[in-house]
Amino acid sequence: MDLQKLKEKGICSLYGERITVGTSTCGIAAGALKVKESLNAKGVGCLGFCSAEPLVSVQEDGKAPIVYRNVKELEKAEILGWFYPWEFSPLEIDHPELEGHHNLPHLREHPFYRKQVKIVLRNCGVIEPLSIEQYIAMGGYHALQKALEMKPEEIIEEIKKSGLRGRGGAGFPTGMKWEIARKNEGEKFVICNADEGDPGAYMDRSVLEGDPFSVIEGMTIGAYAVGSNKGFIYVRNEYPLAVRTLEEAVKIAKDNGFLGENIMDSDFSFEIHIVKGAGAFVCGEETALIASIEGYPGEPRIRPPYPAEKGLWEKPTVINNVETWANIPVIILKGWKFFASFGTEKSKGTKVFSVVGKVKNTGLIEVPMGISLREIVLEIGEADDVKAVQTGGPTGGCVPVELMDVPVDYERLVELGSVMGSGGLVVIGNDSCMVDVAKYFLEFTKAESCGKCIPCRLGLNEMFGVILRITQGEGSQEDIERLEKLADIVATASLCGLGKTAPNPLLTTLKYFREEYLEHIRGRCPAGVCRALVRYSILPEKCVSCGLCEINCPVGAIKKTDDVFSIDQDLCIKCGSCFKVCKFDAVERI
Amino acid sequence: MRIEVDGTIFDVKKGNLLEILLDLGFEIPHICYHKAVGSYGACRLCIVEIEVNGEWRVVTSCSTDVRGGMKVRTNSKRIEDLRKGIIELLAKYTSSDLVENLASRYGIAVEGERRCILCGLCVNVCSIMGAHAISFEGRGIEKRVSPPFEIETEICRGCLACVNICPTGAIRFDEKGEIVVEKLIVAHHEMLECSICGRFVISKKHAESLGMMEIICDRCKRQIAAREYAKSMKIE
Repeated sequence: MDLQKLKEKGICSLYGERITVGTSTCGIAAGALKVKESLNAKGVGCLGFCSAEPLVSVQEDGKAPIVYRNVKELEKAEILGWFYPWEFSPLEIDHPELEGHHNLPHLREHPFYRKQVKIVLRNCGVIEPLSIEQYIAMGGYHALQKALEMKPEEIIEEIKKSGLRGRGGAGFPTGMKWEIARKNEGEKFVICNADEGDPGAYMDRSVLEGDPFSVIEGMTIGAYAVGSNKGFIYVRNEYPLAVRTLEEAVKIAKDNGFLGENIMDSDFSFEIHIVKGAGAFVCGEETALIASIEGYPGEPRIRPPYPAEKGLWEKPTVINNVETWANIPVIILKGWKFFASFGTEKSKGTKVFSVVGKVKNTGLIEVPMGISLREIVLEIGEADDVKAVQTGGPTGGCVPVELMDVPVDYERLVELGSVMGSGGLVVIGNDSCMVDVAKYFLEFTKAESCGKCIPCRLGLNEMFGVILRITQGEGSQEDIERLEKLADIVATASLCGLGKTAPNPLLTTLKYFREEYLEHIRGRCPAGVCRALVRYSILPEKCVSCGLCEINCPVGAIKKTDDVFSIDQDLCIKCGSCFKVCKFDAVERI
Repeated sequence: MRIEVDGTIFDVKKGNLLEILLDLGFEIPHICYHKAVGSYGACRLCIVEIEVNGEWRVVTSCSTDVRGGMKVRTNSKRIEDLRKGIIELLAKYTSSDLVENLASRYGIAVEGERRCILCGLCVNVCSIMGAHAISFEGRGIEKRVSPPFEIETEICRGCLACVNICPTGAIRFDEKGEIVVEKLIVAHHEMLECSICGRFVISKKHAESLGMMEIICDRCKRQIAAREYAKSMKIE
């Protein structure tokens, strides 16, 4: 196997005339496959900018690619910017020089990309996901080559010094985890946790679909460091493209001598198996994931012993998230100092977030740790109406707009009652009801609780019942106290991380938006979201009798009597159509 | 090694904190822990506080090993409040003698419908027996003990370990040879009769798996033994 030869092949296929379309699941949903076919283009991963998809890059011979946004027909599409293919990668890459387009905007000048630092997403949207040559041309497998010449202890030391912490959410130091597993004897396993289940989060999917070899290379380095010959990628079956891409990538890596026996002509052998998860959220919890691989129901197990001591089939097991694994090759190749130069004192490197909700620029971003939520939401996302930011998925918390200056840092987010989580970031606007937000997340966690331990199974169900009552206008002051008491029981006494953190959305909304809860108890939903508490009526002094509301009412609840329109409250289903169509603000929502 | 429990110092051996506390005579409610099964961690009733770096931390004693110098609180207000909260939940959703008993200590009314509290003892002993005839199905509040796909199973041998270990009587067995959890039939067994008195003794499958040659019930066995003893002692 000749790394140099593969690299040259990769460089050849990356340059010259080349049209690429982002065809990850998100791109496909935006219609990228049709565009790809019509342009006879190559499919690449996701450049992250969801609201601009389909994204098409056009590269002429000797010139840097130009990216077009929201492409239906290329001729009519708007230019997003141009960039050099290697410039998002932190690796030093000796590629042929290209001519820039200095009359056009550069991609980095766009607010969405300006503050991003791409370590994990270094290749996404640039290389064809299943081209191992292109992956190598972008610096891939050079880290494994270097690692195989190092002592396993040196690798672990490098990871420890880098300060890399688990990107799945809990933030356990990765090097320390590896060291524990290294010290244990016998057969060992490494696992990649790709059971991404947070609503609105798709960091892992994007990496797996756009740059699968980065995860495979990371795992191979990890396996060599801890002394394992067998790895598993546990990926949810709801990600069919990710599953297919991974299966192909593992095969290609094996055919090229990067997996299997005597990897890169060394004594080290390592194989990877893909395990498909059936979609239980709790299987993202490491012990439940292990139970699921073993063929048991996805239920968390008691820790300690931690998986690094006794994991899969009771053997020492290193289990890391997709994003954690994808960081490894860069740390090995560029050294710990490079990685640790980003971030805060205790949270190093970058973090990938999926920014969704009430923002202009929705998408996947990678930012250095320590950046403030305000910068992410207002500058990158260009949001203009923010009430709160929900970080950490359904078990994270809501940070109010006043506290958005908090830096992205594991400890600082916990201080506010939220968590880093795996990277879901939902921006909540002023038209959202915070009680309704908490209800939504509780409904999710109660349904996704595995049901093993009493506090989580019954406590969350009870909490949901109480909050439902409040949103229906039947709540009382005692209900708020009951919610706080139940939240304490669930958070303290539950078996696993799901139960321990499931009350976070409730607790943070109660802490920062208590007045909204009290308003509901008084019979009013300030945001006008909770339907039982909303009442529409027509203000005769503003109404010009245009009749638009009457036409749009789906149940015929609006009638004209004596030249005045009014709403029959018994018929009204509170859909809000009249409120939305009235051009004279004559429909009032209380 | 020495540990401090509720302010008193004890000399104890290495081992599982729950077992050691029970041996010392502390009353720690627990449902899902069984010596044969080990710690499973579902009921969360055996919680205690232990001191870690100067802070009191709530842990389940069944999953904690004792360490020398450990400080434990078994009945602090924090623990009592949490325990009461968990029992309140159990009492709202389930009912059985076991839950009645626990609830009565805190003056809680029991109003639940189901018996099963999903402590997992039945599933775990079935797995120890090597049968794996029952497991959990569903998630969250829908979770239940069930044979595969909720269909009567042939895998069950009828050893009745599940019935015997169930703390709430949610798994039952009747003379017709039916094992039922809540309202779901797990298995139907052909029962073998005592070759002397004709009473049902054991399921055919379990007798076969144990390699039993003759089927005689406990009572008849005792009578035979008594008769032989009397004969040997020459008692009429």
